[in-house]
Amino acid sequence: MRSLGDPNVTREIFGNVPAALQYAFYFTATLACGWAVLIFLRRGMTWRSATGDARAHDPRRTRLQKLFSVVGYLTFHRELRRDPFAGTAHMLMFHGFFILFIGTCLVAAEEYGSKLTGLHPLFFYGRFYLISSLVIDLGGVAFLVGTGMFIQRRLSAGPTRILRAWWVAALSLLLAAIGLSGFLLEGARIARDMPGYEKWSVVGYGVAVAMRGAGLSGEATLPWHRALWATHAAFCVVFFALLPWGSFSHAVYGAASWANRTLRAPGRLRTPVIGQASPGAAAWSDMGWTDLLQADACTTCGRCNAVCPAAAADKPLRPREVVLGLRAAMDAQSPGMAMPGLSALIPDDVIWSCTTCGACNTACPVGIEVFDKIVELRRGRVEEGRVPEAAERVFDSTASRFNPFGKPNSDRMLWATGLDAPVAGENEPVEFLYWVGCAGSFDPDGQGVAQSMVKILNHLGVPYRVLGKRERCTGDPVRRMGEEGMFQELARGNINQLKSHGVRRVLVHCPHCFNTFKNEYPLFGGTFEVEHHSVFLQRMIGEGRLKLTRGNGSSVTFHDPCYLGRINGEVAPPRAVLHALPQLRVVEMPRSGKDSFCCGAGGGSMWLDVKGAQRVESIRAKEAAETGAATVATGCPFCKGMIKAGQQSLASGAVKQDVKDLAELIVDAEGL
Amino acid sequence: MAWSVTVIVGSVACVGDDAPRVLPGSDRAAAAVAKQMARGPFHAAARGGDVEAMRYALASGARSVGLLDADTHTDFDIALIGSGGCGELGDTLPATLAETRGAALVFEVLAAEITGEALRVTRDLGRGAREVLRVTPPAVLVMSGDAPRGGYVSRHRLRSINLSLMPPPLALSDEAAPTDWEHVRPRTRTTDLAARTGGPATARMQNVFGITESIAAPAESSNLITADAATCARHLLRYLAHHGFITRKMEPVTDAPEPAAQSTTNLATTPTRAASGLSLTHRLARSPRPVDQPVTGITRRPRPASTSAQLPAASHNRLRGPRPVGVASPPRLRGPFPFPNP
Repeated sequence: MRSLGDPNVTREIFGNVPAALQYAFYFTATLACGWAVLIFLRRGMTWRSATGDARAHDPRRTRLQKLFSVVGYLTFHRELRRDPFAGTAHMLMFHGFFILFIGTCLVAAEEYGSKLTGLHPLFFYGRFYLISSLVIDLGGVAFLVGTGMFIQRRLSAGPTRILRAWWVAALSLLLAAIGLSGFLLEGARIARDMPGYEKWSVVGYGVAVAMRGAGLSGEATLPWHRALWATHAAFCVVFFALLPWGSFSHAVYGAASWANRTLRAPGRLRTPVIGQASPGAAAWSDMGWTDLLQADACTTCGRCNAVCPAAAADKPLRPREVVLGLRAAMDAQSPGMAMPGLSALIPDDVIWSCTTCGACNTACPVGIEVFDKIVELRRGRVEEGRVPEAAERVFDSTASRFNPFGKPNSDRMLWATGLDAPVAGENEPVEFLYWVGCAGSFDPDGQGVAQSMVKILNHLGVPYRVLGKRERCTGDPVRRMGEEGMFQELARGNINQLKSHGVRRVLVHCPHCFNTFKNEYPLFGGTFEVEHHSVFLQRMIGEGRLKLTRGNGSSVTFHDPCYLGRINGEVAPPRAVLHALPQLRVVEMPRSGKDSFCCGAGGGSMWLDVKGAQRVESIRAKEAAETGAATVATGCPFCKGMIKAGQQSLASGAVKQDVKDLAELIVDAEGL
Repeated sequence: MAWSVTVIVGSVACVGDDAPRVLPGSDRAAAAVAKQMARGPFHAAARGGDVEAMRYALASGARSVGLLDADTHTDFDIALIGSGGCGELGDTLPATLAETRGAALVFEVLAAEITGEALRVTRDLGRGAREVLRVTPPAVLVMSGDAPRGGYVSRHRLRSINLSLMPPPLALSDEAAPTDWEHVRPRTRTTDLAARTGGPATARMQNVFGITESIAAPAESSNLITADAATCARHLLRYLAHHGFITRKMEPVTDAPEPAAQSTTNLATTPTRAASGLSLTHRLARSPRPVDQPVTGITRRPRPASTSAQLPAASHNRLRGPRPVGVASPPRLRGPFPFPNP
């Protein structure tokens, strides 16, 4: 007796497989694997030819951190399970495949270990063999169930989500064929003698019983077994050879992409050094190597398409197709490939449809930075001079009048007519600054928010100042529209202005300004304590300085601005403010919090208008109306205006809702 | 054929404190058209000290940029000018350039492209009307403010310009310094606008959309005549006298017949001083009416200066000039007149 139990409880490895067949398998498998490695290396060389730097100012991970990151990612599938069906299917497939791979490794170790040591069996016997057989069979079942779920999803899901290409379906079927042929092979092996201990191979034993029922037993199984072995081996060899292509390649590229994903704050765009190289990407090689890796890592799962507001409005943008366009542009460099360049693969109207809401980045299970690539492409087009007329108008207005609305900067304080909004004198020390922003200064919807905030600040007796005519656009719109040079000029100007006043704390009501101050200005030396007004109001309520005593028994739903909720994680403070308002019932929209749906204004879309079958703001206004709430609250002047605009397209019978900012709700309730 | 293309650009000051200087749309359009025409680098000129304009010209593809000097800038086949490039000189600059070089002069250009040995120039006639001309270089094209701007020039490209390519910056003239007031640059439209403003409103609207045959496209060519210098001068004097700019005594009386109208082909090529005769680019559809003759057949007509008794005493120019802060604005001159018209 050996330590692991009865040595007769095992199986013959390569039994009934002639040596010629074995050699043929090893030869073809070696060729396939070598070919795959060669293709991977060649692709790596392509990535190395990238001239951009997508990680220029990003925090770095050590290799060990990258390894742990990937292990944790693959083990728990946290990101993948955000889509429960696809996440479960992938988890079953991945873990099943991993178990089968380990099982194959064990068999190989037993075969060559026993040949080296002369011990037979070496370790693959007894209890270990039985448990291994059970686990490997369960792994096979998981693998097949996962594959089946993916095939079923492919058949049922719409084209926006699923890439309808024959090769994607063929690869799924190949995986299924590998799993099925493996079980048939195991069944044929067991069916020859039907040893009782093989019941631990639960599926294989069942297949063997079925074969016996079909009249296959004893020596009659041998030709079947041999044919099935050859078929299974052929499928595996094809799998090895196809590993660098299509959705198989994500097994390698996806893990590498996740390991090298950015640690940059979601709201911070890449920051090229102006003057050193032309910002943006006019060709695929202008991207960073991680961009190219990510393009290859795309699994074509379509989650980005499913959450994209532009895609929902049937605008030309499909984030997945942008990534695949980048991949195709890389492929076009291969010899013999005659494909158009990046500009033709990703047309202008595609990249100008993006609202930079960041939903695609958040949804991507392999950490692809989709909207960062779109901004890079926009920067490239801006450098080429190919910008829409509306974008050019915004650039011109921002350059000459320091606001994207095209209003004279001298009108910046018109919103404060009749209000006591203290303007900071030149070089006057300001500890606490209320940054009004361009929307607050010029847009009628934003002006209401600014007026309400001033009333609240005056009511609280907080010592604050506004900059008045010395305030300029933070540069968020032009940056997200690709005018990086103008953004950096504005950023430096604003930071110098604030530093000249010695500003320490900045209060903003615009999430775009908030994001710029919080995430983007620090890279230019502008580090301020910035607070969105929802956080400020929550703090004031919490400290008892702002007492909310009146209510009207109404209901409200909160629209999370993308740059507040999803990108900067401030989901709770606005809701805390709403809950603090007496007798106010808060109802949530189906898509809320970090999974909120864009209003359609971000990324310069407030001014750009790429046509789609629907309007993004109409979709969101409809969602808000369906809650039945009397008021739609938000924390962004742009969102406020867009949702009001979206309400225009609602059916005449739809609920007429007020759209108000948090500050306006407080002012209205308290009669400030 | 490779033409030597020069673009003359200039920046204007925005209103407000520490506001930047920007290039007007017509100057950007001029640079874009120059790049397209030259199919490569082209030459640019700007006023001394106008660094923004120089940067823009170089960033948009100019090979070199020189200081603007109307007397010496004659080494061009095609000169494209924007309103910023004209600067305080207004239309005098293109006129001087055209005169010096003996070039065709076209105002309000919306688009221009090279077709064989000549240029195909699209002009803005106002009110949505267009005119397509065939112009043989040398030519001076003054771009319209409504011309498509072409490619955008990013801040990065502007800031990446090698300053050593620029000529030594000279101080800007006082007129071009940033100010709260924009300079008024009267633009003389050399179109048949006067003819177009005649007639009832319906007819004018139809004219804009080219509906009526009587004053639509065919009428364009009939408005163009050629005449000798004496005839042109006579017409001019009659016109000025009719509007009260000169006394009637100065108007020469002659019965010399007016030459027949010629084809419009290539008429935009303004004859030079050396040419045997001058070409008018348009003819008034209505002939001037002596003061003592009664009004017949038209309901609206140019208002002689002598009949402006109902208007304020202030002169037209005074009303349109800059008005200091705190000084009350005079009554508006523009706007509907009380019926019946004066």
